[in-house]
Amino acid sequence: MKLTMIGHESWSLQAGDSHVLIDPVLGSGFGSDADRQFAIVPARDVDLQRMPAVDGIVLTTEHLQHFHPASLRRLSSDYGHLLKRKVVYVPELFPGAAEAIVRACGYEVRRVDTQAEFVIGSLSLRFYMPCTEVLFWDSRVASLHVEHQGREAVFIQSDTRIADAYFADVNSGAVAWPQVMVMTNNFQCSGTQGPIGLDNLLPVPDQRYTRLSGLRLLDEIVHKPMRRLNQVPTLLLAGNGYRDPFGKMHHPWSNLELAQICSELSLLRAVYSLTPGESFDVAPARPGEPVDWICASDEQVGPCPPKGRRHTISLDTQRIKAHLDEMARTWLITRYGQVLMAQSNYLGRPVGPCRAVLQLTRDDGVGQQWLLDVSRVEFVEVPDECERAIKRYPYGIRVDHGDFCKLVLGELQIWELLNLSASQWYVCDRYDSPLAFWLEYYNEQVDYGRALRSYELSLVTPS
Amino acid sequence: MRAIFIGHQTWLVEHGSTRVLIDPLLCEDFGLVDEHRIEIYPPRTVDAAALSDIDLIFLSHEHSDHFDIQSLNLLPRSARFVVGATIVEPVKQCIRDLGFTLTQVNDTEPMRVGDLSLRFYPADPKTAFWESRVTQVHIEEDELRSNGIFIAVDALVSEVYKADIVEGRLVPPKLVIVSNNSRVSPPGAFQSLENWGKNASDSNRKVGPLGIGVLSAVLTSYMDDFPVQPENIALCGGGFIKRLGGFAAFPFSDQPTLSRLANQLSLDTNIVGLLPGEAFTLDTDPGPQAVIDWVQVDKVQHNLLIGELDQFIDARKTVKVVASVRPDVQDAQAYEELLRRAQAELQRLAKSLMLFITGRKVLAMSHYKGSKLGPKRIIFSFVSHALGRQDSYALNLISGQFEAEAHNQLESLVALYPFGVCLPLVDFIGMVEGDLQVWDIVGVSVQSWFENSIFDGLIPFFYSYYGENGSPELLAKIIGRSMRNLTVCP
Repeated sequence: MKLTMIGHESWSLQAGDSHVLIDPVLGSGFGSDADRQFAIVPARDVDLQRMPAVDGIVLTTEHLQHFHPASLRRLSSDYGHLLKRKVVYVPELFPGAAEAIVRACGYEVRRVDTQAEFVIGSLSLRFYMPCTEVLFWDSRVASLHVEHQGREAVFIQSDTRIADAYFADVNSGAVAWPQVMVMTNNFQCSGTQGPIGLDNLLPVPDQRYTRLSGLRLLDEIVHKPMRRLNQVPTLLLAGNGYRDPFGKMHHPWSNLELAQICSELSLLRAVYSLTPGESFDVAPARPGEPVDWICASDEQVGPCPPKGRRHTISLDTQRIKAHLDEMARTWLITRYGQVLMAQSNYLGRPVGPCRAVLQLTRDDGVGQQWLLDVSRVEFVEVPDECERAIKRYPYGIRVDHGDFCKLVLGELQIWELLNLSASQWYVCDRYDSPLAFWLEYYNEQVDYGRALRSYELSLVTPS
Repeated sequence: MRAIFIGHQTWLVEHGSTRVLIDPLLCEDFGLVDEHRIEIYPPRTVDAAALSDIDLIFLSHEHSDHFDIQSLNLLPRSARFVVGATIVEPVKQCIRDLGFTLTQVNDTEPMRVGDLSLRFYPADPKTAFWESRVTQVHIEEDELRSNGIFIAVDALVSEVYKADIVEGRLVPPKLVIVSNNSRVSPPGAFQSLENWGKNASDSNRKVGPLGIGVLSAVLTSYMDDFPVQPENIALCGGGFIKRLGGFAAFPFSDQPTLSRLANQLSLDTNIVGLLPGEAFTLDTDPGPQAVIDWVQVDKVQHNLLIGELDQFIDARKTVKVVASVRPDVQDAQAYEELLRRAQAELQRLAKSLMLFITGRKVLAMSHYKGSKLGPKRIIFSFVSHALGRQDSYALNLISGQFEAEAHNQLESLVALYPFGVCLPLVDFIGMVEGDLQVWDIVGVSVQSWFENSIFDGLIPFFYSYYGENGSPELLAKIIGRSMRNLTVCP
């Protein structure tokens, strides 16, 4: 079996005559907005004409770093002759809207239950989902176990916790022991340009980045899983294989650096990482020959400065309010709301019923500010307080007005928004924060219509 | 203030002209039994004359890798000698017999020593039983209380200490010194708490990124409930080797390497890993410091030992279990006599064993390796390789007594009984009668197996029952012999 890295967490897996593509993102990047693409790094050219014929495609999740409709459509329409069968295999909770798009791209979709075996060519595959203790937005992600003739096997963690059932199956011999396990490092933090993701505008130390965070990361993704297997596999580190368009995101450790550190801390088992085009031979658990259809690109992508204002549809105030009031109810009945309810003081002063603020900013004008009033379960528009808001309200989201409208209309996904133009402040745990709530509220699986629109749009963006 | 690392867990804390010495091991080896001294790693020489003006000596506990009589003998009797409240009487007497004036600290009130203040804390009671007598120390500058060092030694951090920080009686320390006593044995090697029932050469305790577990155990999980993350954490410990068959230094004991890797993984805390003779200075602008030329690492030997370890691992070598640490018996009569003494000892220890964690664990078991367990669940097996004899005894939970056991091969015993130990008869009797300590034979001539945790088996039982916690009189005997061999220096 030969595992080849295509970019980020996209894989080509070959054994004998069988060839499977896993989470293929085949272009230079991904993203809903053509002007603000997340570029795969290191940049590479994927020469599909020279790619071996494909027996099937597997998707571990509908997240946009793994599921790229444009790549699927390009394969199907321009390189259809390379697809022995146009079949895409997905985990049991793959959203309906994503399935619809995959079919629209010309594929049959087979939905497979967790732990059930499915066969592609001479390969036997299974999805594993942990079902518990997973962050909401990762709760549909599946890990993938692939084996060949009961002898060689590889396990790909993807963006989820490894299921207890997987360790049990390997230790009991229900599935072949994996010589190689691909573990995911998606540790990101804010750089100098301001917070990304769930980071906090308030200058409070975040547990995530303190107390030897890199060591804790390695304990999670390398040490603990290894200790749960009676026989120790060789590990490959993957993830963080893209950059946000403005270079706001910072990766404190590259996979290569982490692999080198782990190898120094390891007995008789090196830890590896691959760049696009590089391969790993599974049975001997060693790097193999790189493939000729993927090679490093001459132009490496650097961050680009934000372009001038693009024309965007702006939603009117009434429509925004209606949308926000719907949100208010869901916010307050979840644990995110409980956190707001419990917050009666801020910076030494009592807060009234307005505890969270949403600031929709405009480069060329005054922003729009909304306050979440917990006693009325609605958002109230008030004059924009700009920088003063962070001192008055314990929770707040600041986001570009146009981007917020795009989010509502399904033209931008929430994960992208968090890493492009949204920021927040909060006085609670990061996973109870306002943007964490938005990650759930705007998640692809929650709103079929919006998700479908988002996928349709991604077909239009250049791949 | 600066902390000078002298090797293993020996530190000299200096501030101005005040000098405080902690757990002094000053020779190239250590050990309370002269015939079985253990080499210090990395190998170094210490010129004890440089310590002739120290103000205070602090001994954290009585284990031989902290309490070395030959080293103490080299120190000025003018220095004040401080121990904690839980130190055992034979050790206190020994210190007095050496000519020191002993101060026993019974509270956490500050003790002024020159320009420093010292406070002594009892270890967290949840510490492994055999380390529970450790006293920890916090040292701070009188003029600048934020310049503080906390030395945790071989125990979990004192709850009283944490409370003092949380409640504002103490300024959180800038440097915490933790001990890395991990013993990761690669395939073919074995360590004191090795589980001989589960040491297949590709097991997850012998192969793979185990160094991450080592670092996590001392830097993250160990410090998780420390109230304020210190700016600096220093690694020490792991500083001795029992050289057997080409295997000496344990992996992941090289503190400078470990600290370099830990620092790469840290966005905040600075991790310190020193070689003997190196120092860490708390002040940012210390000015010129006296060079430490009185500690010299033997670089050649150090590199040789590192190379030896790499070769051992790569070539997949193995270490043989030592036939016996004490001289083996030469005739059947001597063997029978020792066996009778061993049987008597088994009767004596049976009740304690049943109340100890091992006994409680086996009581709670019903099956082992898929079969129903009978009433016999713990094995003691004694061997003499010179005579080719092996005699085994099983503890019967119905009678509360040990009974002769027919099975003799280690493999069959491991297959039938969940807990057991196999060791040379002479070494068992040596430990029982105080001719040597349990530390001298574990990881050398003893093989033990157990289920689940390393704290549940028979080696922890030996540490407790025959160590200073259970049998201070044995320690007294060993100290007595060591003192008789010593020329007491003025």
